[in-house]
Amino acid sequence: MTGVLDTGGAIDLDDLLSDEAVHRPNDYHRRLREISPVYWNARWNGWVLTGYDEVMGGFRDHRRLSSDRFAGPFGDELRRAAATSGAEQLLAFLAKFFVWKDQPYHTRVRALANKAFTPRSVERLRPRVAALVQDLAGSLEDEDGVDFLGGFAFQVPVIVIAEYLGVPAAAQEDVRAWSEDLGAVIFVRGQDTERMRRGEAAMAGLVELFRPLVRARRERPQDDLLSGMLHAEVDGDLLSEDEVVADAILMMFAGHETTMNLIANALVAFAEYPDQWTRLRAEPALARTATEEALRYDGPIRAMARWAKEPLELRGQSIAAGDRLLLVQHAANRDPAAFEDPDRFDIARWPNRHVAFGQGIHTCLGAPLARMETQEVLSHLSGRFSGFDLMEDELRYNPTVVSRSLRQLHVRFHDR
Amino acid sequence: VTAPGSVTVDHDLCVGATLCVQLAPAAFRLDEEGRSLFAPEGAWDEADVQDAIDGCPMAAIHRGGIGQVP
Repeated sequence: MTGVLDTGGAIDLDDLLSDEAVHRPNDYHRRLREISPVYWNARWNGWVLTGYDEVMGGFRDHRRLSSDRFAGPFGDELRRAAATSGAEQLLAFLAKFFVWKDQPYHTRVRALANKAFTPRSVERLRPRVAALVQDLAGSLEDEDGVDFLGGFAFQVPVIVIAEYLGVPAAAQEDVRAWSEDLGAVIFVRGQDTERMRRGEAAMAGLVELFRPLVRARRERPQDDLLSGMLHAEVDGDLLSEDEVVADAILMMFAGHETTMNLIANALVAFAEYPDQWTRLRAEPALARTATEEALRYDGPIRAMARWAKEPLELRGQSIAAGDRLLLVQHAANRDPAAFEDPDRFDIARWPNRHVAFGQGIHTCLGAPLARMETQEVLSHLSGRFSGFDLMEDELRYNPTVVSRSLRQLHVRFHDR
Repeated sequence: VTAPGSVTVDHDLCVGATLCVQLAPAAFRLDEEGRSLFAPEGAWDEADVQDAIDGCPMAAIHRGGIGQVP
């Protein structure tokens, strides 16, 4: 040793939004995992889980680890922020999102919504998605390059989920703006007043959009998701109109934001490994495993939070009741203990037991839809374009703990 | 994992979402790792098993065991 200690530039490992954490998450997670896969973050005031087994175990342990944002440590924080900013409607509807409920309520509502999102239900949408992808990809044939994120990666999923939920096409741009403001409340830690105020306005807009759609289905049920939720009993009761409106907003929001990021992040992965693009062109049947690998390699969700309802031991650490835990999916998906050569993007990787959609009872409801959309995008774009260049000097990501989302992505596609 | 009745849960796909256990509680249970097993006991309903196959969000449940001709 020469006495030089490499501290990596003395980066604060407790800063979840440091430049390294946001822009080089795999370096950051590796360092946390090497210290401990169950790491106490004093600034966040909670445990950060970066090992595959620990993250997997955390998702599976829904009995002791709660997802409820309106109880425990998260609830206090959110209520304080809402109270100071007057964001009452925001809070009231967020509190009804079934994703943040524990059993048994979560289980019942999820089973209802699940019917609309099973692989079989979603498969019926595939021809429509394929046609949409083909149509939208026409705009990518511009030798000056295009706004891939806003002009394509956003458009595909937002149109698909809006059509599925019966949202008029004219409202889709509003939905995007509202979703961004809602995402800032949900994904970004630290609830400042301005952010909560914008979130309140976004929620009001979304409620106003969905309430008439829900009422129309109460009067004249159709063979669709919202009608099914309105007329199904949960614990012997019907879901209230507000509950159905809230869950429609949840599905609209969750149905496009993350898929947009998945598609954009997948393209960035292929830019890093152009041989894999060539391989996909030669073997289009790899679109399915390529989608799984994109989910593993740089999925749209970085991490999900839980809190402990009772004390537990994890990797020798004593977790107290009320402690928060961050289950870092990005870290688990690059854990060398779980994946061979984890930093290599290999579109034929299988099996690929990534945790990009979570695990257990809260596993992403929309996973089959997100998969199908991404498969169609990858298979069409790789067939249509021989390659592409990213037109960004530097990729910049939004500073959030939860999502892995590019600020922008301009791309120039090549025909040959 | 192959079990009686030729229904198989592919553990490369199963994420322990537990929809099958809810839809056909007499036919499925979870192993120690939280993955589903086809392990019918008592009275189980073929229609419930079909609901579980159709309702699996990961399409992890199949007719026919591994290594069997479908």
